[in-house]
Amino acid sequence: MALNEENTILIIGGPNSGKTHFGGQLYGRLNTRSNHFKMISQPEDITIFKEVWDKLNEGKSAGHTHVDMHKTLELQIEDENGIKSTFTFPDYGGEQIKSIVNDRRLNQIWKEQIEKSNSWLLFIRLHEIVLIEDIVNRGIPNQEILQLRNSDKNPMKLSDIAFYIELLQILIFAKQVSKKSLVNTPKLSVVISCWDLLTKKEQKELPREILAKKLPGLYDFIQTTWEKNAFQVIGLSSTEKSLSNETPDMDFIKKGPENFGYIINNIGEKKNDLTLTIASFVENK
Amino acid sequence: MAGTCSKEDCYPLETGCNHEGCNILTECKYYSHTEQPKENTIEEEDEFYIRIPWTGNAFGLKDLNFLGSSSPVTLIGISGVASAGKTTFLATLYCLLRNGHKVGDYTFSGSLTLIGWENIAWYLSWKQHNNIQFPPHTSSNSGRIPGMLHLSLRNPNGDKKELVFTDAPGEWFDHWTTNSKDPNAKGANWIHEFADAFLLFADCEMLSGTQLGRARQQTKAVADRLKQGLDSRPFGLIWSKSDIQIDTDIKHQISNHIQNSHIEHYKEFETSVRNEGDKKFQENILNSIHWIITTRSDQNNILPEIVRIDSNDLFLSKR
Repeated sequence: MALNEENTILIIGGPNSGKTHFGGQLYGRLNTRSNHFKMISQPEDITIFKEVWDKLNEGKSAGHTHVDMHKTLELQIEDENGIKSTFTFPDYGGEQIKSIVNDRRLNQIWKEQIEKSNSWLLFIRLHEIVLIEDIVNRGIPNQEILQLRNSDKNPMKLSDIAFYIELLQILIFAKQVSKKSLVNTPKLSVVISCWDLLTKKEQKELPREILAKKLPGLYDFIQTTWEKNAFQVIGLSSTEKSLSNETPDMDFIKKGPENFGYIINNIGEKKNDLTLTIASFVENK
Repeated sequence: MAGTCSKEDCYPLETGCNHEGCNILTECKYYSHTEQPKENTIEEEDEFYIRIPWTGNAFGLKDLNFLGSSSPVTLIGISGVASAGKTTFLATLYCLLRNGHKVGDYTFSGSLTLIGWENIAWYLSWKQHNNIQFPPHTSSNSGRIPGMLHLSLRNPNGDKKELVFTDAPGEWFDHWTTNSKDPNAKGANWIHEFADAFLLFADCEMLSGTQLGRARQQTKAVADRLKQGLDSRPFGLIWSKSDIQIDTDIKHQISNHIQNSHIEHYKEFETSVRNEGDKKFQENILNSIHWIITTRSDQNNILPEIVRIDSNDLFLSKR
């Protein structure tokens, strides 16, 4: 990537996907100026981050972001080599992501965000995703059960795999990139949030292996849509442990939120510097 | 906000402006409000939306334009009489891809009809009460074009295939075999005319039971119609529900009947939603699609013959 090229990073995450805590922690890290990335200037309005940052400093979990997106917080950041980037953190409730897929349309604010961005961070909370059990991986035990057909009138619910594929297809369309050849820009990072809540066994694997296991169809779609070096999967644990929104965690307060949280990078290394989430593409590591 | 477009192939509220590319529909010259303005309290920013030119549901004829105008499409005609397992075959195919299976060296690369696929696959997914159902009957509406389901596949060389499957009611083929001019056979005729490849379904369940005679006759009859004007289009015979044993004589009768005149590309596949022992019935679903892709690709890749090689040719001298 050229040195003077502007990087604009957009966070995409559904309800409860962990982007709020990440935003707070990232802000804290950038502010301490001891990490790989530093903030160049203080943004005028830091309301969205401040609430989270304050909560975390009290050892509590932060609340839910409200649904409407009114403004976007832009952080001008710089890495150790002086390469500047813009990190866009739209203030929106995750429900907006759901409604993009359900209503099949994007408003002007989203359109602008998508147009400006050249790197996407897609947050997925994998440990909550239940593997679909269908005919392929479970089979049919006997004919009697088949007789129950038509007894179940549950309406169809889109599977997580289909949901995320459709979301990415819509965003690619809005970005007006062709899928005919592999996509190079925007670059895509799938962030598996709440990594610490995956099973011990799963945590030993590479983030991309977990994604391929849990959402195989989505992994195939991404792999056949993005260029190899324009796509990565990383694990993220913003707070390293689950916090309650009522009882403060004393250990967390004592050490300070900036000493919690880690990422698992593309090749499985654990790093405490959360700002590295955005590093690999900026530096083309 | 409700409104319509004066152009007949544009559905602005669903799939956005198809002619002028307007993001604010009211600015489009073809767009007209059908609603009387009541209270003008709608904020201006609500007017602007990027709409997505596919609905996610099974394609209708006009929905094919969006895909067909940018990519070559392989239309696969799924044919066979009612309840032969056509929709179940498609649903299983989708479930396999969703679970990370591949079609030969082709990997699942998205779809513009995900909701359509999920709808039929929903019946093959386990629910709370531990029951699983086959997709319901695809209803027959005479004259209507069948729902079409789309799949994108890509191989490691970056070669992309856009496949579209017809999900049509079996009744169309029943009418078609009796009288190809029957108004109820319109859809079957459309499939026969435009499909690039065919999969004909022979139902092992029916062929093993009391309906044998009728099922055999119907399967042969659809095959006869399909063979008319088939040319080099691949014709695959799917022995659906192959976990149910049928008499080998019956198989020979049908197979021989279909091959009593030359078919350029013909192959048979034994499929089922479940694998039985070492028989990979599910895998054969993927194999049948791969066979169509490779057969079609071979046809596309005929290189023009080089008439002469002249090393002094000026056009070739610069490297």
